[in-house]
Amino acid sequence: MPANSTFSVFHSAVIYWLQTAKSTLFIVAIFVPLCGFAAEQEGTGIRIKGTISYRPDADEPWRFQRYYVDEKTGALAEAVVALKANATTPLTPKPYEKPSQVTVDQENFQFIPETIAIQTEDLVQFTNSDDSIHNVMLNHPKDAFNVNLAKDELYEHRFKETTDTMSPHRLGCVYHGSMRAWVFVYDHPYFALTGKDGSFDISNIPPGEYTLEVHHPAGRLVSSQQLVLGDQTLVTQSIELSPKNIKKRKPRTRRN
Amino acid sequence: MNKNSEPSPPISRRRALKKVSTSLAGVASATALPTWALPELHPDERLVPFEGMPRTGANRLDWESLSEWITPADQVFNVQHYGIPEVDPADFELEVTGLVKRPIKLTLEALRKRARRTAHMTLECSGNGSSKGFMNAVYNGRWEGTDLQALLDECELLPEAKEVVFFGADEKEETLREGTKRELKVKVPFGRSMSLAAIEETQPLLSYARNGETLEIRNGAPLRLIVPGWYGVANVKWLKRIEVRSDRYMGRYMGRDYVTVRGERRGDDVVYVESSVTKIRLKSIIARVHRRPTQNGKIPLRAMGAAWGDGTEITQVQVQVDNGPWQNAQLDPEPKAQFSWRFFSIDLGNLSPGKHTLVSRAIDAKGRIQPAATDDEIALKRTYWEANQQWPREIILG
Repeated sequence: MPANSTFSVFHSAVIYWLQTAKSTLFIVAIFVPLCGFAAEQEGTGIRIKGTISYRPDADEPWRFQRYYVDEKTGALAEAVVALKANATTPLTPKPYEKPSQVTVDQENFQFIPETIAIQTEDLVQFTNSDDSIHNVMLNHPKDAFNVNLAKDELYEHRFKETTDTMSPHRLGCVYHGSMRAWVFVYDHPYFALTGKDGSFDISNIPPGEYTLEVHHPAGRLVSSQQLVLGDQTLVTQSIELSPKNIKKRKPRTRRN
Repeated sequence: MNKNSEPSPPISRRRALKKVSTSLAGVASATALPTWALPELHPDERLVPFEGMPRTGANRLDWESLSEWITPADQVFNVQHYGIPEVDPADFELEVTGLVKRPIKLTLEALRKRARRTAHMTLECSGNGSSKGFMNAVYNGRWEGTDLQALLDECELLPEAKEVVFFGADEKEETLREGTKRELKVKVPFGRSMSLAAIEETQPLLSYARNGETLEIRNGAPLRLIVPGWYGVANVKWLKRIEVRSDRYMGRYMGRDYVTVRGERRGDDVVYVESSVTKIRLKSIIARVHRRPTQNGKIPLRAMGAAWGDGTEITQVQVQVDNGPWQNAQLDPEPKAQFSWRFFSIDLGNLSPGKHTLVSRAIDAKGRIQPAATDDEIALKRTYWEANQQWPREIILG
């Protein structure tokens, strides 16, 4: 793209951020860089990059904050950011040339990492570094498994079924009920898992209308909003979550 | 404490701090408080994380944020062996049957109309503390319901009555002698039993509410047996039938599971004894460690935690640092109830940077001391229930 046309492309880009009825997401800033488009452009399509952060509220403490939020910057780690197709813009599954391999260890009675986001052909290796026996279990109508793992044993699994960003696979250990892990499985590459700096980066997105979803399963944070991408090449944005984004539990009491 | 008495509703430290914040609003904004901080932290204090411990998830007690004497609902655990049954409160009836002169069936409404009693109790799963992956299955609550003993009295026990069995609505097919010619499959309800003497001693409650709220289904709604001072398994959830018997009930969770196998020294021999899990064993744990900024190369430290047991008064909690001498902690005078945990705190002085090990132990009025993992009481135990050993906490001060 010629550099002199970049600015006009920027201005011709149409970005609509609409809050969905269910979401209370606050988008505090949408930054579109005024220069450097050509340098940022990779392949074809649009790139969305930015950070997810969490703004605490002393009146509504979120007790998982100390695990996932950077004390100084507010960056939120281990959140999954993903595009969801809208009726007008299907996200067609992309052929997979080189599946990735992800390792989920069990150490100190915890899945490490707790949350992964993969594509359907990716291989997940479950290992156990503890002296104690562990187990990896998924209760799913089409992709159930239940495997014991002694120290240093390995179990490999390719997840067959995709998940919705708001309903990932929830894995557990039958011996230790507090151990849990979440696996997000997609048939497209338009997703990311935030690092300790809260950053995410999704590339090569075709123009169209999407829902951008954010889900932090361990902390039960959710948000989503509509997104329309035109012919811009890069969108940089920051998304700030707050206690308002904590997913409410369904009431489990009966009136009596 | 009289069984009918209860302390005034505790004001949590968080709420207390909010009050202070509000009252000081004209002086300094409440937002000046560090928003990431636990309310109990002094402005210059920081939480010291424990090394090598997993994160605490939902529906588990989060020790490092422990502040409420009454545990918040979202930190309450649930364990069930036969799944969570569907029980419609509208159709619910509690049946008292067996060796009684006057069998009875009571609707939930009828139970609610009976004399109401409340009881504070710390409820702990007997497996709690068996590993670092299962350290959070304990909580304190205020249970509301009606008295079991009074109901049994009204039903008039027959002379041969000796044991009372409590059956839940949850049931499952059990397999006995699996893999043998005598294999037997039989569908049974979850059941636990108590002797009449144990009922008289513990004064159980037929509970339909906790902390002013209807019980959650996962915690036994619409009706749960509450046995003050006994491990969680005895507190039968979804209670449906009370059966008075003359002989011992030997259901799976009385006779096969929740049976502790423990070695006892008899001279030079060790004899293994099997006993059903009942009374909560004396226990304490350091919940949180706070540090202040380094002063002259040392780090001021304080620790706090909780201690509980079977209702015997806890007279002392001690804390040890790096295998040094045991130091007496301060037991919070209030809130306090016989069957609930007591909070403690201790100023540990100034420690050097680096790795440290902190551990607490409780002592009760009977002179019992919470055992270390190396003491016979724990070291000779072959099953994981009743895991009341001292729990060392490792920290790194930088």
